[in-house]
Amino acid sequence: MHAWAGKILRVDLSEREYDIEDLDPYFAKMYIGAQGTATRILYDEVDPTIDALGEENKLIFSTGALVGTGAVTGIRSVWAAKSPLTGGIAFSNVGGYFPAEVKFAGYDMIIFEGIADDPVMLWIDDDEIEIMDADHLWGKDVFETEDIIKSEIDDPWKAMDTRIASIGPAGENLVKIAAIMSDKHRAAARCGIGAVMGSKNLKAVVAHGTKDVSVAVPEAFNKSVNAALGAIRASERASKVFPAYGSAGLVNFYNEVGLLPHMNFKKMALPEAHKISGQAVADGYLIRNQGCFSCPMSCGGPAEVKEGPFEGVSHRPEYETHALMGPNCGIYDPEALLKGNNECNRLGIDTMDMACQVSCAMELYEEGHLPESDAGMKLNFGNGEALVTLIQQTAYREGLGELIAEGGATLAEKYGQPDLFIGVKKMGYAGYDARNAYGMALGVVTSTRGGCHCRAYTLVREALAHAFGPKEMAVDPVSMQGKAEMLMMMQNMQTALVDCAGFCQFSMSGQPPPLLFPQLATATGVNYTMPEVVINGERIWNLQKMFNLKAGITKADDVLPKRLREEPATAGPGKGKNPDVETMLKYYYMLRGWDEEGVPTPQKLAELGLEGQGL
Amino acid sequence: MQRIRIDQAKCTGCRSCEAACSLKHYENEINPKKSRIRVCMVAERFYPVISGPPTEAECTSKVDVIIEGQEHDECTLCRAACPSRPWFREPDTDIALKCDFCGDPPEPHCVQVCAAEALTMVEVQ
Amino acid sequence: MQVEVKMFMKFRKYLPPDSKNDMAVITLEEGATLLDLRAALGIPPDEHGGTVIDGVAYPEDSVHKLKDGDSVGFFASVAGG
Repeated sequence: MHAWAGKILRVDLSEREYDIEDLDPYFAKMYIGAQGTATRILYDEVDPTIDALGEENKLIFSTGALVGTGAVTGIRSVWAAKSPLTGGIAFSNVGGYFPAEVKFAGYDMIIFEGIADDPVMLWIDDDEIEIMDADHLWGKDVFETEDIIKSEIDDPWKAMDTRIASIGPAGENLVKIAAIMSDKHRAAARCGIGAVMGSKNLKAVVAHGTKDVSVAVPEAFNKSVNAALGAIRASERASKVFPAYGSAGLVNFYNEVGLLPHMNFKKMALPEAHKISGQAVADGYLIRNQGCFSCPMSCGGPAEVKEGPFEGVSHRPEYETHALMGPNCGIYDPEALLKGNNECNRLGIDTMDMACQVSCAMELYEEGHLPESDAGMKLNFGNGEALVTLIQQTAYREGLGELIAEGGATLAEKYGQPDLFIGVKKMGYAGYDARNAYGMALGVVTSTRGGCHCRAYTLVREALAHAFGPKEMAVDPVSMQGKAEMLMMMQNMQTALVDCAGFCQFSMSGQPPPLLFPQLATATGVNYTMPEVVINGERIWNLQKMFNLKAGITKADDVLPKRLREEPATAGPGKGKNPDVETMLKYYYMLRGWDEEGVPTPQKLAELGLEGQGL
Repeated sequence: MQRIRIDQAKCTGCRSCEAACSLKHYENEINPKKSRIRVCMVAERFYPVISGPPTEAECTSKVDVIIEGQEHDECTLCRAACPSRPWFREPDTDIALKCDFCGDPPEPHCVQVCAAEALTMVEVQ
Repeated sequence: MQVEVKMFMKFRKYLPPDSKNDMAVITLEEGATLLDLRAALGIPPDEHGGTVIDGVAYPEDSVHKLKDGDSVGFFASVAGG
């Protein structure tokens, strides 16, 4: 096989044994990699009704098909399982260096089964696999864990070439918004995937690999890589603006068009946003850029607060963290944001869900529902110290952290205001106010993993194209016309051609699908056509939907938060209005070949080669 | 004569150079451990190192190097394939690797893929 | 008429001297368009980027008519999410 390593490492943590299986070429072609291959294995092997933190759940690390090939941004991979947060399917995307090292060790996927009786870590050094005691690492934060593991490697060059994924205290304490971190600052953040790793007593996965990854048609592959690099270089957006300001370069623009949420989605378009924009962090704190493996756009990098209560070196946050931990918590101090981001990375918590919980807590407090005596501190909007304290309390399940750690509306319900938790399927809502982009509203509601924006970035057409082109791509952000079609196409295409292949979604601003496809085709040597790849995406989407339905997630969960449904927009193109997701949803289900309850019909499943997989 | 100039301050650590180098030299294989350029990562900084002539024995007179206030063991940034470390030696065969500039005239693939322009071509005497 | 401009990223270099908080007030003829505003600020045609007025985005070559009191944001082409 080319591009794929061709092997799956299956680890039984209960028995402390492992097996190496072959990756079936037909399976690889159909499900490509990352969330695709992981989805099919979860669907076949994990009962969707089990306890996500019990022995029967499986934790899968699955690399994108192109990881390690040098395809442009070919690094993105997923951690997958049944989610302890949403109860549905979980797949959390991550880049960095760790996924490539796993591939160079010779594996496309690692499947963890069972529960270890004591804390362990998995060591992968090419063919040498060892399940080792990790008692001495339990309780350590993510940064300490990586440092200790590396310090125990005799050869400093081998240590430099060794990559680690681990959980911090949050994952250990089964916090349902915990992340799996790798390369210190790269987070597989969403769905509470870190709690699954914690439930298995698996502290870390350590990888070192010296094997080859091959490509099928090297000359054509090299050409397709250079074509993509050329397009990125020619794009000011991809080669200059994005590296300079990161994805948080969006903050100011989205604030102006009413997409940036403020104060738990209560307000929009406040001028204070400029104080905490990507521009503010780049100007005042960024030390240098850092990119993931084979990425020319390098949106990350260390950022330093030199003095004061938030002093320290952090990593540049991306847009979602900026939006949700900043303005949506009423915080306009970039130093508090950098500290909050760093604490989440250090303790292993999803910045997005954490921030959604903090903004909810702050509104509960300000509206008098949550007394100061319960919080043990003032929780007013804008209180950066409170943000940091709540993050720390959540990791250790102390104080309000005990409620926050359960995720979803747990905290809001305790204080009698469940609707003040802004989220979908118990997952905190992404940092885009749905009232100014109806396609994105439908996108977040239909995402198979919860309140997530990552499955189809409709804002490329609903917002960005209006200002930056291409003009023919621009669609009215607050019209329902054509949104279901557009969304479904983008979901299918992006799932297969971007996510499963291992490309970074951010790179699409410089390398659009026609430049991605040749890299996938020439590296794998699979005789794909573009439409076939897109159908693979549709198949994967339907399997995810089926998993969720079997887990008990239904049409009743495909719903916007009440605030976004009922309180009209105060600025932006949708001013005075709310999106009617219910109407769009009906049409979306129909287009997908699902019935009125959002259940894939037997005909649709048959068409996708999934006969007999219905409810 | 053209040579590769390294500006470490611009390197973002993406290691595209390592992937491109191995693909160039091994027909259809990508393997950073077989690359003739490696990105050394120390204290969140990146130092691309291009392999030079190999040596059969570890040297006896090492000096520390200071770059931007950061002190480095000379071995860390050394260009030679050497018995004391695994870099610039094929992992399976132990054969020493040396940069050949991807031919004559030079057209190094590492430079072609370096979006950060940490690697550029310069004319030297 | 007078319009307020808010400059972001590379467009900051086109602010009139002594501007504060990356903002300035610009005086234009009645009926002036976005293109006229770009010219008044000395932004060359090959300096690409978009604009937002009162929550609505316009492309760089828009001849949208400005009105007194408009607040216009200039942005470099951003991406991500």
